[in-house]
Amino acid sequence: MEAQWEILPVVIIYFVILLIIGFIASRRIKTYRDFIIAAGQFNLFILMGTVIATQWGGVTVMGVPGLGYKEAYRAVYYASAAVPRFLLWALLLAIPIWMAKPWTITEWFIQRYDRKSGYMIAILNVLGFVGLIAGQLVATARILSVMTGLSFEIALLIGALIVIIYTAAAGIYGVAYTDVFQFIIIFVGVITLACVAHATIGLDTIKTALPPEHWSTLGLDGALFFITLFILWCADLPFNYVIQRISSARAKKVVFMAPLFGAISYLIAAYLGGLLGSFAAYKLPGLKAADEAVIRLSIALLPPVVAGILAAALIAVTMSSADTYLNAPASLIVHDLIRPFKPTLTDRQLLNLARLVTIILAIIAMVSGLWIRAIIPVLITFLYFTVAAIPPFVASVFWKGASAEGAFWGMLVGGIVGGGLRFAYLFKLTPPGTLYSIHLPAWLGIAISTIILITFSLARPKPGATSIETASGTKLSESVQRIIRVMPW
Amino acid sequence: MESKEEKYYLPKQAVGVAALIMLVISLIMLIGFVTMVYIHPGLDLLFLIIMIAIIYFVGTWYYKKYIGE
Repeated sequence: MEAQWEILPVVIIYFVILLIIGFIASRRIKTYRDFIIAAGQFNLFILMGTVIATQWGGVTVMGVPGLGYKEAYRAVYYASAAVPRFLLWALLLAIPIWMAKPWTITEWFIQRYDRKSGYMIAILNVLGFVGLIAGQLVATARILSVMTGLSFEIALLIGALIVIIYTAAAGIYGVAYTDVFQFIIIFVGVITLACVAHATIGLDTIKTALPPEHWSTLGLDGALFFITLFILWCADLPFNYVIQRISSARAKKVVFMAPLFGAISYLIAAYLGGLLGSFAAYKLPGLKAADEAVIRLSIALLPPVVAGILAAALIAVTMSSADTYLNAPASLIVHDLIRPFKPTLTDRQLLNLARLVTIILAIIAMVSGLWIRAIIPVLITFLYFTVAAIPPFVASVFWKGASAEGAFWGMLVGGIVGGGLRFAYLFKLTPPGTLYSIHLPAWLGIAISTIILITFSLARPKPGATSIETASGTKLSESVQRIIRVMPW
Repeated sequence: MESKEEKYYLPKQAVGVAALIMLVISLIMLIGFVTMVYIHPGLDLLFLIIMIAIIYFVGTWYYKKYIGE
């Protein structure tokens, strides 16, 4: 594969800047808690940057225009389904969780339900995160490979090493500060490409040149696709990095406004996804890998230096997601699965342990990436497990009667059904088509979890929420009492 | 500051209002994408500005009404 020699220096300079930011951020890490949630330090700009940059990963910037390469509105529905998901985060979930400031998603579930449910959500998170990290590393490697001409394996190794170094060194601070840096590059880069494509090719040209089916609004299929994608986007909510970002906000308004701007960013992503995919379909017909549409379009349309900056932006979005996905499960494993069994560990030991786990997770993900190689199948597949966690997570905030038993069994059975059906499709055990590959695993996973949660909660009202309220005092920790006060009951 | 936060709670009706906001914004957005977008760049820009304004102002209205300053 031919290297893009004009672009390489820009990419190298970008990585050097990234490492410098990570190093500066690491000097602010004094305690283990700093490594995890930055202890309520983020202002709106930083939080907004980290929330958006994390979500604008390989799937959004490469996968969505890839969909738009074939059908413009498929891309629009995919990304726009994230808008109501961000609104759910902002309007209902952000404030009550921020008031309680849990360190991890497990802590939130333990406080709201019980220890068993806490461990269940931790396991679902770690499972999902390994797939997410691997997917992002593969996406990074694909971009690096196209831009530099390096082999996929070498590109994956380089990308993984950079992510390991600054995530392990700087924790959540490094992740958030580089996220902001990358967030700016992403917006400037992608919007520049859209403007240049508008100016040099034009909307009228692609409207007439591309076949009518490219511009089909997809009818019922499109509506069902939007609904399923909304569920899958929501499956990304009961994740540790969401809790980390909520708890890291400096003020109430900050924690509310950041996901609101996230919703706005995905409105723009939906538009750009369909647009850039369509421009690529016109300019570069017959691409074997539609996911490479944006990269190849930038090489075709932009001057080398500008294409280099966009290349850095594209690498940035995937690595930004990778570093977040790496930091979050590391803190989850150390804080929730190791610390309870080793309460004597000092703060310094916990911090070192978190860094060690970060490195181990990255290596596992790297090996998985080298083995699986496909971005989107891995990412989506693992989300089908966490679809079952949506009902207990949302209910934890606004339904007083939601019981621990209902939450646990809902997550267990719903997760097995959702994830199981998806894997059954991958192993060709179910019929081909979108019904069995995309829709049914999501719908059944969330439906079963909801039914079990409601049935168990109504049939056997659990000690959890009710007895906590009546016990008032000696048996309850201060943090639990604080959560109860912020619930909308 | 701390004591002010402790007194905060999310009213029950906020849940219904939030669900309604999500539904209505999704419908307006989808209808807008299908009817207004990819026709003319100016129209695309107009649609995006209108939607951004709707999301921002509805969001801040909700914040002021149910969460407070």
